[in-house]
Order: sequence, then structure tokens, then C-alpha cells
Amino acid sequence: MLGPLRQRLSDSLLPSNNVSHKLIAMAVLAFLTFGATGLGAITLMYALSTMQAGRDSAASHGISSINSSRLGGVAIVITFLLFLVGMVMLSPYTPGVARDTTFLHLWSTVFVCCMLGAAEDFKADLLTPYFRLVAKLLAFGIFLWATPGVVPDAIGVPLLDELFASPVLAWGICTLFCVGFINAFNMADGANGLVPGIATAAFGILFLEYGRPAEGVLFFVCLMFLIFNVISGWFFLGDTGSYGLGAALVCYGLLGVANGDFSAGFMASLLAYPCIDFLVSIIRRIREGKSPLSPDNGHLHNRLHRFYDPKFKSRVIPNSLTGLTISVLSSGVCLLIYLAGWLPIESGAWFAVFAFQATVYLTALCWLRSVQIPKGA
Amino acid sequence: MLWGINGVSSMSTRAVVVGYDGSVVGNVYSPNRIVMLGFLGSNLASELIDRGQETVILDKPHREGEGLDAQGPASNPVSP
Repeated sequence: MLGPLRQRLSDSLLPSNNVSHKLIAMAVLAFLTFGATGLGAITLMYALSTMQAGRDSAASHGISSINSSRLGGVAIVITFLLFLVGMVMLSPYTPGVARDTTFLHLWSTVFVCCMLGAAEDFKADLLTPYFRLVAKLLAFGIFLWATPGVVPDAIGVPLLDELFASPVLAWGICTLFCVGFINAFNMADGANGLVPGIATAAFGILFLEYGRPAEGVLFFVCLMFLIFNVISGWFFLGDTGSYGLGAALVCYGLLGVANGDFSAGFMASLLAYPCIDFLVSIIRRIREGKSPLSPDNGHLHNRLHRFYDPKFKSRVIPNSLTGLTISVLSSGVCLLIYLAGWLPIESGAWFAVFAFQATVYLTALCWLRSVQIPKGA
Repeated sequence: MLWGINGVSSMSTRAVVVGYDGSVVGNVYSPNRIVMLGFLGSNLASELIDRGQETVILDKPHREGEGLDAQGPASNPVSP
């Protein structure tokens, strides 16, 4: 009689061989990169990934074929807040939100976006898409109206610069862009390591540029999540993560461009994949007579996954390889150029890098479409 | 994780005490630091202290309005 109970207990408490290998790989990578601190973050993520709340069935994903948790973004928020509170308690560090109204408004907007995502992660369809869209428009509209210093006067594109000359038009364009970018970031979150890879590269560059603790912690958390996500596939960023990280990146991007710290072309190149994929997906859906925001499996990451999938027995490897290929070839290229110092970040020449990334995207998409024509078509 | 946060805070305090002579920032690959923060984390902590100088640890009553989040870009550091 105790046999089945013992079996169930051992199944739930003792990880299987495959799970053990993944845990060991994650622990080794976390320890090498961030020592015991990284191990702590991975342990927290593992604990959250085993929770019943936020669990998604495999059928609800475009790519993933294993049951996973959507609480990756919640794990990122918890780890980030833990560090922030820890630093405030253990040292006389005063966070930017307590000293600077720009940062207070910026992080309040990020918080609103995180909460909108969290509502969706804990209970699907709790908020209607229309409500979320209006809430995001309001949050960014108020943020950019209350903090006009975040809105750039010019972005280095002749026609758009004429529109940016009018503060009201600039405010409207930036509000629409911010909301569009968050949706683009959420839409791109379709493969292990794709969005976390882009976010890790972006926060790494922001940390090297500014040297502030907030970006340093975000770089650490995103890297730990990237390791966990790519190796295990048990965790997704979820809407909390994609909305929150997207909001933080777009706000920092606008602030940096407005302050002249880096060019708009640099931010476009750094965040090229979500932007290009979003625009191409909208055009594709309109051409097919569908709603521009209806989900489909025509993204580059879906097609790349279909290309990798038959080549591996594992269900996680093609998924992770898809995400890593795209994040390395988009934001990774930008990071390489930045680290090598081939282009100054204030340079308008980054628009050429963005154009090159767009060309590579379209070429890859066309090639994958040509080799993946359904039989009988 | 709390050990890591405490470690970075202690390192910053030590850097202030020794007057930024480079000993804390340069001691990147000491075994204790590697165990606590790893290779990347140890470099990140050194970068944080180096960039922040005395603003890493803020003396709240005297230094309101300054700090790491108030810093400009690396090319425009806060003067001591």
C-alpha cells in the first residue's frame, strides 16, 4: 500500500536523471558567472517554476511542447526587488525613484505595465486586450506628458524630425511607439532565450554606459533567467516579464536618446528583432485579411523552430537554439560592435546596422518560407 | 543572494575607507569574491564601485540628490 505513495513522493521530491542534468548545468553556469549569488537566483527561479499558479499547458504555445510556468517575469521582479531592498537596508544607497522625479515616473510606468502583465499571468483573460491597450496608452501618455524631458527633440531621421519639432506631436508619436514596442516585445517572446537574450544584451550595454546599480541588477537577473530558460525550458517570461522589461527598455531608450547619450539608430539596432518582427507580422496579417494583432505562427522564430525541430530528438534544444540564434544575430551583433568599439553609440551610422539586420531578417524569412511550403500547396 | 548584496555593500564601504586606492576594485579574482559573486559578478561589482566612486555608498543626510542613479554617462562622471 505504501508502494505507490513512496513512488509519488520520490517522483515529486527527487528529480529524474534528465532534470538532474539540467539542474547541474544551470548551477554550474550560474556559479561561474555570478557565484553563490547566481545560485541563489537560480534556486528561487526553480522554486517558482514548480508552483501550480501560472502553469501553462503545452497546447497553448506556438513552439514549446512541454508544460511550463509563466511566472518568469514574476521571478525577475522578485529578484530585482530583493536586491533593491537589500541594498537600501544594508547600505546607505538611495534608489533613483526616491531622489529623481524622472526615475519615479519611469519606474511607476514600468510597475503599471508589470501589474497588467501579472494579472494576465495569474489568470488568463482577466483583463480584456482592449482594457490592457487603453491602460498602457494612459500610463505612457501620462508618463511622457509629466516628464517631457524623456521625449526626444529629434531622432536623426529627416522626415520624423520635422514632426518631433512639435512637442504635442512628439508626445503622441512617443506614446504610440512605447505601447507598440511593448506589444512587439510581448509578441517576440516565443522561444527560449529570445527576449531574455535581447534584454540581457541591452541591460549589459546600459550598465556599461551608465554604471548604475539598477541596470547592473537587471543584467544579472536577465542573465540568470536566460540560463534557466535556455537549459530547462520550464519557465517563460510571461506577460509580467515581457511588459515589464519592454517598458523598462523603451523608457531607458527614450531617456538616453533625449539626453543625447546614444542615437536612436543604436536603440533601433539593439532592439531590432521585436521591432522588425512586429512590423512584418502586422503587414503579413493585413495582406492575409486578418486582424493585425491576431496571433499566428508565421513569425521568423516559428519558422526557424520548424527548421531546427526535425534535426533534434530533444524538445527543448530546437526551442532554445531558435531563441539563441535570433538574439545572438540581432542584439548580439549590436553588443559585439559596441564592445569592440567599431561605432560610437551616438553615431547615426547605427541606422545602417539596423537596415542590415532588417535585410538579414527578410532574407531568412523568405528562405524559410520557400523551404517550408506545405505539401500540396 | 543576500550574501551577494551584503558582499557588494561591504566592498563599497571598504573602497571608501581605503580611499579608492584601487585595492578593492583591482582584487577581482580573489577566491572569496569568485565564490560569492562569480567571474562576471566580481567584474560587475568592481565596475560599479569604480564608476560610482564615493557615490556607491551614499551618506544620506549629506548627499541627498546624488548617487548612482543620478550619475551621467561614463564619459561624464560625478566629480568627487
